[in-house]
Amino acid sequence: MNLKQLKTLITSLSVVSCSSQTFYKKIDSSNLDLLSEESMMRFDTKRIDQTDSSSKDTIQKAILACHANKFIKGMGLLEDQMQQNKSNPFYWNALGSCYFLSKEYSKALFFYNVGLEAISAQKSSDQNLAQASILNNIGLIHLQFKRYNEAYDMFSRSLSLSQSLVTPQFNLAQLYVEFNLDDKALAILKPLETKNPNDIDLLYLKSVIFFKKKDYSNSLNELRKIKKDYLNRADIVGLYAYNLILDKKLEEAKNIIEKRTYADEFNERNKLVAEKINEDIKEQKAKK
Amino acid sequence: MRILISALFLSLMFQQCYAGEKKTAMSQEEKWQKLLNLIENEVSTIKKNKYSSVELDHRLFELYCEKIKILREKENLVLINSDPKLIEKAGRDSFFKNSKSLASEAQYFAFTIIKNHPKYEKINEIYYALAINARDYLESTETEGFLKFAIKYSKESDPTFYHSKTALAEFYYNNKKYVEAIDYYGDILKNKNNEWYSKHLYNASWCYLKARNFSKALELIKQSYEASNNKKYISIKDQVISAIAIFFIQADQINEGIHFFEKNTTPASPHLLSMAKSSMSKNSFNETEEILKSALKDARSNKDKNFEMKVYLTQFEIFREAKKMDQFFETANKTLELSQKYQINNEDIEQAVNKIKEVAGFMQINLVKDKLKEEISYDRENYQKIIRFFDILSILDIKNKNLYRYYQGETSLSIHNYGQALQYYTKSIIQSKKTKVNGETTKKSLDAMLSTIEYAKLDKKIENEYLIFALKNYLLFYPVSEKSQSIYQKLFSKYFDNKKIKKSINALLVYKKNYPNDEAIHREMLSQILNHYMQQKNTDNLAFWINKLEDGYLNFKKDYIENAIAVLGNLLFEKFQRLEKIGEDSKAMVGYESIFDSKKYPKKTKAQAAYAISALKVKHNDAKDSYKWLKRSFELFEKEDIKKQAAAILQLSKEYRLLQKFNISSELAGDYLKKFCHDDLENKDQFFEIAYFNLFHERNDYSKITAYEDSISDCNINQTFVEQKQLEMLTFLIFVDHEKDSINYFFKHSSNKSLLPLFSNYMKYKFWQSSEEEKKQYAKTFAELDGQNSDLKLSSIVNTHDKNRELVERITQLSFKFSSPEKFNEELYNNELEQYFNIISSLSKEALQLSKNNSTEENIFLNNSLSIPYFKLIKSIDMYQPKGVDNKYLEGFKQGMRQIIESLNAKGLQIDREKIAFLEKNHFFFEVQKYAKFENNQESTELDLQKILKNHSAKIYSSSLDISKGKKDEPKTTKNSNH
Repeated sequence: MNLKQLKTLITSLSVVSCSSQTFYKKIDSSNLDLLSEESMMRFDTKRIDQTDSSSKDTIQKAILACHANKFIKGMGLLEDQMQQNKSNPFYWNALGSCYFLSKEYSKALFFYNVGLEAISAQKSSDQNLAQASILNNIGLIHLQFKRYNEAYDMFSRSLSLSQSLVTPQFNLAQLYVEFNLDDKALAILKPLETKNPNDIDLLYLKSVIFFKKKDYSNSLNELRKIKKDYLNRADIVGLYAYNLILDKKLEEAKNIIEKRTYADEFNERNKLVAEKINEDIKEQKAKK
Repeated sequence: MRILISALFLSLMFQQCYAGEKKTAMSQEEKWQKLLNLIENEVSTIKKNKYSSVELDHRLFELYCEKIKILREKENLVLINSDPKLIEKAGRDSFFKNSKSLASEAQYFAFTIIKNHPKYEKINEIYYALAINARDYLESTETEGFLKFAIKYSKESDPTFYHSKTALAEFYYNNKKYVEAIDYYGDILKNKNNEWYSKHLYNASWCYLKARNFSKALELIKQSYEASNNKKYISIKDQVISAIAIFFIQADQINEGIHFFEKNTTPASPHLLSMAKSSMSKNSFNETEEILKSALKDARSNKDKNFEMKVYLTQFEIFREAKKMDQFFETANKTLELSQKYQINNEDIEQAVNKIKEVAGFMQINLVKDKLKEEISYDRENYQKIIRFFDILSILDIKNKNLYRYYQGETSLSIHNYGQALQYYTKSIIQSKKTKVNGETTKKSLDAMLSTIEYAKLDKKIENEYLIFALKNYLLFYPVSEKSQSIYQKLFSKYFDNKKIKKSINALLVYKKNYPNDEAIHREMLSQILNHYMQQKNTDNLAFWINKLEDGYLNFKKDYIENAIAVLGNLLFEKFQRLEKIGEDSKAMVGYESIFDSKKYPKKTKAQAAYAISALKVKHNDAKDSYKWLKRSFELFEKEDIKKQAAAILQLSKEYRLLQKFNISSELAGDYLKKFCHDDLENKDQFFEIAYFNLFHERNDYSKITAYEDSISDCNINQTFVEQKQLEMLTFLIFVDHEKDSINYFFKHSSNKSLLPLFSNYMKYKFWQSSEEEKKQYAKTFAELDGQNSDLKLSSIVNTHDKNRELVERITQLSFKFSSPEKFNEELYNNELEQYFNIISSLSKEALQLSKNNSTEENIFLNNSLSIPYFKLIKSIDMYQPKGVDNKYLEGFKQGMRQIIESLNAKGLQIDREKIAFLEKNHFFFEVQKYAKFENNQESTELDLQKILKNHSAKIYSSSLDISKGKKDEPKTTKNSNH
């Protein structure tokens, strides 16, 4: 390899490192996924493949493909089934979600609306479930555009239509936490925890809430409940390390922060946490 | 002298013979002229002679007679060669003027001789010559007298005596004076030395026959025949044989006669035949029949089939005259048999035909006795015979076979045997067809057949067969005639009623060819055909005719053609639609494609097929192929047809969109609208709506959306509808938060007042959602927007917000710091605390004042900061450590402050609760000023790390609901499975 080639390689590597890093919130096991029966949003590739191979439901296969960012495949599968599912709101919900995931929000809304129109044709037992699904997902679009009130409204309506659904509750809890209505969030999360106490995001959210309440002990406790494999996740790692700082476990904090994964949304704060750990370790050494 | 004359004459004759040898080609005229010259020379010689004598005069008379004879021969020749009309006009006598004149002169000359020389020894010769001249040239009754003078002046030994008696006997015979003739023949026959004895016997026999002395007559004629066998006499056998039959008949000697002929003639049959005829004239049927049998026997023994035929012909005559119909019938059959086995003379066949025809015709006329009676009576045997006669005739006279079949039909008709009659008429017509004869007989047969069918009351099927046969052949023979026009129509109807459609079409085609002006009737006929095909669902034939109709055949009205095409389409598609219903879509598709690919269907039907494929493709979720086929159908449809399908096209456009093909859906709806931009079109507004919003969904491209609006601006779409859709479009733009496009769109449609509240709220929303730094930018933008549209009044919220922000800034910047002297000054502390309370109270009052004119959003913004002073003061109080006081005081101080803190905390919390209550009351659950603090972490490195860690984003963690309720067990059908 000559010098010129080496320079080119280095340049290309640096381009890669500077490129955006998407937050990876996928979960590899349904045991850790409170929403596994309702949402495939947090399915990792393995779970997607497993579910796909065991599924005979084209709609489900299409959603799985879209959650795996295989939009052409997912949309194509749905296209091939349109006439057969014209009056099936779950079909339109799936199609809307594919477009949502591919960030084509106006099309997503169009198909969600088609689904809402189709609901009357659905058997009554499924009507509410279908409508709840679509409204929840429309809420996600609003959330994309920071229309929190509209998102809240959608999640609330979704929940009111099918109160056994976990996802809209979970989404509402996220909103509450974002807007500092932590007690409201906790009120939702506690019963959900009984359904699956190991859900990664639920535990993280509880930890955030306790952290905001300055209940650092509980904040750390919640984080410790998280399966170790996820502690270095870009979002979790910062809060976990900071709680360890507060718990005077700097080495442990250092270890974990150094093993962190990266995501644009969390890189800066994790960097600050890492700096603080290093400073504190330095101070601690200095004191000694 | 006599010797001289003879010598002269002989020399003349010699010269003539010599000349004849030398010049054999000498004409009759030349010969006559030479003879006349000779005669003239001799006459001249005699006349120039100084000497005169009775002999020379007699010679002159003889020369005159010779000359008369030559002249008469010449005159005869002239007469023969003359135009009959001229003969008729001029009269026969005018041709013989010269000979007659000369004969008269000669007679006068002879009278002079007789007068001058009454004792002349050859006066009997002169009288004889006068008699012959009178008989031959002057047709005078004086012949008898001259002959009697000749006999009178002749000696018995004179030849003239004998010749004169013979001539006189013949004279009497010719003048039917048979008795007188018999007298003279009595004398004549005494002389058996005359070579003409046989002849005289013959003549005498006739005289006796005429005198009805039949036995004598037979005797004499037989003697004559015998004499003819004698070489001494001249043979007149032929004459005898020709004549003798009548003699045997009259003498009732039939068997003898038969025997005579059988013995003396070979073949005998011709003579027997004439004998039979003679016999019949005597009404002796039995004898006649006997003779004919002999004749027939003779003819057969001689194997003379032609003569056998002649016997039959004679039998015909005889049997007919004797009214012996059985025998006549038998002979007719034999005649047929003979003619079929042997080559018979045509003339005889013709005679037989005429004879049989005559009898058959007669029998036919008389078959039914009283034709007016309802119950007819007739002889069944005669009927059979008549029919047989015509059968025979049809073979013998094959060229008129159709006529005899017709006669047979007429015969059957006369006895009311209609079925039989129709059969014969049919045969007659078939024969006419074979021989290509379209004469009177053919026409009569056809007419008779048509009228007979009406009376026959036959089984319907048979009646139809006959009627069709008659009508069809009528037109074949007479494609154009007085009756033909209506017969075409009858034939067509008959064929059509009998479901013989191809033939009815042929009838129509020929009718059209021969009567091109009857187009209205032709149309009516073809309409019936097409209706039939429609009922029978015979799409191929229907298509064939529709193609012709479209090319202008018979000038059918457009509506009719359209209707027919529609029916054809329905018929064609019915089958494939049925396949579709039972799920055989692939087969249906193949069917539709076959219609499309076929050249036999009309353009519109092919268009419909393409359209059907398009619909089927959509059914199989294949929008691209569907649109491809739809475009093919559009290429074939007329513009008006496409227009009529607006609702279906609109539906297809919607289907494409449901199949995620927004671009195709837009193209279809957009092009369709442009195509009918200026027309009154059903669902025009919906076409606009689909194209319009698809453009947005497809690319969210503002420039394309507005360009499309401009392109259909003159399409006359309901303005209220358009404005409503503009509002929806702005809603979509806002939904996807295309701020710049929303602004541009609003201003482009500023005349639409319904957009203003939505746009204004969006701007305000954006304002509230933005950070304070961003709000400054909005302040500028709003000023500009207000400048463009004064109704917006966006700047007012900026002004209000500035006031609120100034207060909030003052609140957030508020700092409560108590003085901390070395020795705690309680009064100072209390004053400061009171001052702080006052500040908080003052700010609260100020906030309250502001809130009265604030929007809800501004109040939420303001409320969000109202609790801050309380918690800040609590913090300051909590943090304060009085100096220079003992522990007891300090404890008391802390105790007092805790109460104040609790009070302040309660107040702060109350304000926060009121804030939440206000949010909920105003349906603003979350703060509107939230501006993604989470995402701005990178810019917040100076912020407290804990604050950063407290930030949370629901957007990151919220999840979709992916519950699937698909149809798991249904077979997979894809767009490709159709092929």
